[in-house]
Amino acid sequence: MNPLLEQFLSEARDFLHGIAEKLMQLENDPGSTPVMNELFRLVHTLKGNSGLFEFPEMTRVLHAGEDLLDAVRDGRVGYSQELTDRLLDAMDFVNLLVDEIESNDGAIGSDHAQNALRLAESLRQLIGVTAVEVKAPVAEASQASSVHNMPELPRLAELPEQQRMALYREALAGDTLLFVEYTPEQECFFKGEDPFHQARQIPDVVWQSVLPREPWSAPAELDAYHCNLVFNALTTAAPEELYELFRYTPEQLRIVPLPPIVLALPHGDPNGGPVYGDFVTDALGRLDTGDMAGLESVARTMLELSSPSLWLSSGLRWLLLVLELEPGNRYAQRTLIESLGSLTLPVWTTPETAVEADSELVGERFSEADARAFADILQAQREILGLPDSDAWLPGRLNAAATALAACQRSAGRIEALPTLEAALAEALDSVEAAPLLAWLDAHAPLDRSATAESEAEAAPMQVRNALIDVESDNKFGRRVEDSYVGPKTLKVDQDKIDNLMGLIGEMVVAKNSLPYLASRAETQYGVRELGREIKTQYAVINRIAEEMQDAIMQVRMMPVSFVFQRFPRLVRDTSRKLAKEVNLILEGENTEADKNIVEALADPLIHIVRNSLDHGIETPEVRRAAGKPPAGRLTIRATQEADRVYIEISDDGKGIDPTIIKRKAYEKGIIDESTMERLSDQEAVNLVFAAGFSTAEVISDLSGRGVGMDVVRSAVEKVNGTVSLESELGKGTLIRLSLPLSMAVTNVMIVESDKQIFGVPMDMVVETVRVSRSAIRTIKKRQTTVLRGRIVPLLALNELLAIDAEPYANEDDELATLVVRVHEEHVGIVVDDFRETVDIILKPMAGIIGGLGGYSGSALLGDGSVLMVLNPRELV
Amino acid sequence: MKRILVVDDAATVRLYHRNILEAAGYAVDEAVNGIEAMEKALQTPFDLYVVDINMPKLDGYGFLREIRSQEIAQPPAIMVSTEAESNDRHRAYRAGANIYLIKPVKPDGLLTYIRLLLAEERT
Amino acid sequence: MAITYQKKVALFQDAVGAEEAEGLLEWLLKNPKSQLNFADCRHLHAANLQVMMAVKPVIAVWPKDAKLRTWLESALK
Repeated sequence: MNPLLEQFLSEARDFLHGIAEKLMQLENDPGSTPVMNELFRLVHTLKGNSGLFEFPEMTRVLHAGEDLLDAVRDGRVGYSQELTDRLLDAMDFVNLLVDEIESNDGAIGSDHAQNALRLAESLRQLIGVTAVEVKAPVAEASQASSVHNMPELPRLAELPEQQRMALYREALAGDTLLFVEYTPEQECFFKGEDPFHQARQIPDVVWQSVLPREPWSAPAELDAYHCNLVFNALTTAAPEELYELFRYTPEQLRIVPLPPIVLALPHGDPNGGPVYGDFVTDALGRLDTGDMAGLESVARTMLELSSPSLWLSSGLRWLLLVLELEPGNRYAQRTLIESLGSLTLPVWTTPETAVEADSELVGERFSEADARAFADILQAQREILGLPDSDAWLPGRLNAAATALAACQRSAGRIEALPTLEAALAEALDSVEAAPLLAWLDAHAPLDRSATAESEAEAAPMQVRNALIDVESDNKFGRRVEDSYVGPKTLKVDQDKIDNLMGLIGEMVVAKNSLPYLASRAETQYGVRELGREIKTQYAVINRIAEEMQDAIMQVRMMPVSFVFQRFPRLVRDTSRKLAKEVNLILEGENTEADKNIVEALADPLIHIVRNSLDHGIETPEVRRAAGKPPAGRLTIRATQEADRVYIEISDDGKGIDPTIIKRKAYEKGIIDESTMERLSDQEAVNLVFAAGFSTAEVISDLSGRGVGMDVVRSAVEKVNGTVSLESELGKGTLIRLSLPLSMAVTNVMIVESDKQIFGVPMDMVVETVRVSRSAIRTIKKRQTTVLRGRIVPLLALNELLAIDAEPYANEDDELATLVVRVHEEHVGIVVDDFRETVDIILKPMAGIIGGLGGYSGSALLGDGSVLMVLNPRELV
Repeated sequence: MKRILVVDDAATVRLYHRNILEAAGYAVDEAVNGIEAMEKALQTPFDLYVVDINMPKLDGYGFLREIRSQEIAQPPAIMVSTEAESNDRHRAYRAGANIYLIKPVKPDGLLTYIRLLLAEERT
Repeated sequence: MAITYQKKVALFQDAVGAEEAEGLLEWLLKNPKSQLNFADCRHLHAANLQVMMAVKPVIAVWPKDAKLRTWLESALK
């Protein structure tokens, strides 16, 4: 056995071993990118190796495996157990082939073809393309050639001949013909883009087509919002216009300049026409001897004899036009004449054709293959030199291209061109751009038939400058974006700037608040009532503007809750996998917006709730089945907005919360006493999970935290002035509802007075203000209460809560000013000395030592410059 | 004797290329990835690189970009790939390849390009 | 509404937005023998275009807007 085959077999075994190992690793960790990449590389390399030999069965299966893994790597196909199984099957087959090659002296029996087809098909099924015929085995591929993926212009012939001829004239006169290929991003619809609209903006389109990027899936499975379109167009617009049009997505645009001759496509009725069999031979003979006048004359005669609607006539018209406009383009003329003989469309666009035109090089020095390779290399350097000049390694690339060009020239014996090449390289390196070398290439390299050239037009019109006009470069187009007169619709602004603006508006609100003081001073202190009134009028105006400004800046700070929601699919997947549970996550209302701070503050509580739900709520598939539920649990996270609040509901269809267990636990933990335990309703009991230090899990899992319960969620939500409530039905599921303000930047507070000090109370907690007659106060269980609207409301004196040594101050009618606030869904009356006005303030959290004081949510500056302490009744009572 | 550096992670492919190139009278050195290729190329000059794309540690694009960033003589590079995608060819050229060939490259085909790129007349 | 669904004909009017695509797809699947009328259509979002390319419905009337018509024909014919 030859050493190469031995090497192949031994390496193949290593690879197969590695592939199996990676597949196992992937099974345990399907999300691992490094494992996936390594797996892909192994299969890819093994496929490449097998292609060196005549093992089409092996290559076919490996190729399918590679394509499948590529799809998984790209996220087009999800990982599945099935996938591992099929790949393992396929690798077993390859292993079997390896064994057979070894024992069978380098050959594979013919009986494997069927299996190879079946396995490859089973792999491709997972990609979802079953109908696509497997590419020809690589071993059958023809000999080496560099690839030129020129665009296909399948239906150019559909354009009326007249239009094409006019276009051909224009293109020769200077209008470059550009082929545009626009491939929008697959997710672009979600970014609000409309690629069709964009494509329609392409100016001066003479031909267009819209094609699917991948074959269409069955209509019933079609994802309407996954963009699968590629737009092609042929245009005479200037490249600059196109760059301008696609300046935001240059990477989706490919522009290829086309030689005008591609328009020369005869059409018409292929049947009939005068019998003049020798025409082609005659014409070619005249072409070869340079008898252009004779050629034109026979062509014209021929045309006169033929009906104009014939394919032949159309071809002749083109030939005459090319003779007129491109008299030196022998290649085009020859191709047209030959196509008249064969009645097949001339193939203009593939550079391979162009390369054959180079055949004049062939001689003692060059074989046919050499000439083709020579042209290939030249073409490649042309493409390389046409790349953007922005890369840091440009000098190295230019040097290498020049070396390659020099070598080719030397091989072709054209040493006379070398000094100018050297000079061009020096100039290019000097100016750090490819242009001088490209100019040299244009002048020297294009099929140096010039030795026998009769006209300057000979300078190879067929040498398509198909250097892709590259649009990747940032430098090149960054400037254009900035200069652009059409401003972008979205601005990216540094968060600090917004915060700064926010702060300024806060100050403005505060400053504005000083005007009423000023007005009352004008009245009371200086006795100028008129001025006082005017100030008040002005205040109303400034107040309105300030409010609108606040509103506007709030809008800027709004962001969708999807910012938080987007992490849940992964979290739920990973967590449920760890817990061996099956969970379907449903996200709704992701576009609901709230202030950035609110959305950010939402993240931790939500994660906690979701984990709790997965951990304690949703049961394992076995338990669920036993309970008559579908094995997969459902977890829904829904955001909605109502008035000035955002509601987030997290619901599951898990086992719910058992109020009796909660009661018992709460009692055991000393959170409630025995009598409370008896008295509590189920709903109240369920809400005990929010009590500090409560955790229901029998065993503390490593997921929902160690002993950290729902009380953390509650305090986090309350920190941003939100509330949380919970409903649960045993065996059916749990619903947790968070209610949050849309924004937290400006707080409306009521100012109350107690013992000659003033305090703020957030208005969203205030239910009402009442004056309670002392006679209406009852003492129940040593606590003072009163009845308001048929409800017993406990009364607490603010002085007492703040440890102020003073009695509440009653008015003349012996009534106590009572602020009724909502604390954890309960109403509590806070007795103060008096109520004052409400104001908008920017709440600043307390810092330093006083930050540790309970009972306050922050402080704020008032219009008169004094500091207002804002109470937090939740912590206070 | 002209020296060629073959960069490929697959031993089979390296051996395949070595066989072809040595038979044609070239001196061949091998590297199993871009990093090793960098080390070798910076140590001794080569007249040509034959480079695979997909390799661990540093792939073919990375190797070419790195080597083209060096202030050394810049021999031509042949990039050999199984991908017929024009995007890959484009990337290869951008990284610093001078011609892009599709695997499997038949010995004759490969040698034709190499002879031209090394400025050797056909014998 | 930019698409009016009649018994067997979907009428495209003015500019048809992306949000119509899903409904269009459903309708085309439910009414496989239906026809589309673009006479008064000025533009349709690419999502709608690709739905039609995938389902290949019968076009009863092409748009009056010549440029739109050319684009549509290149995609749907």
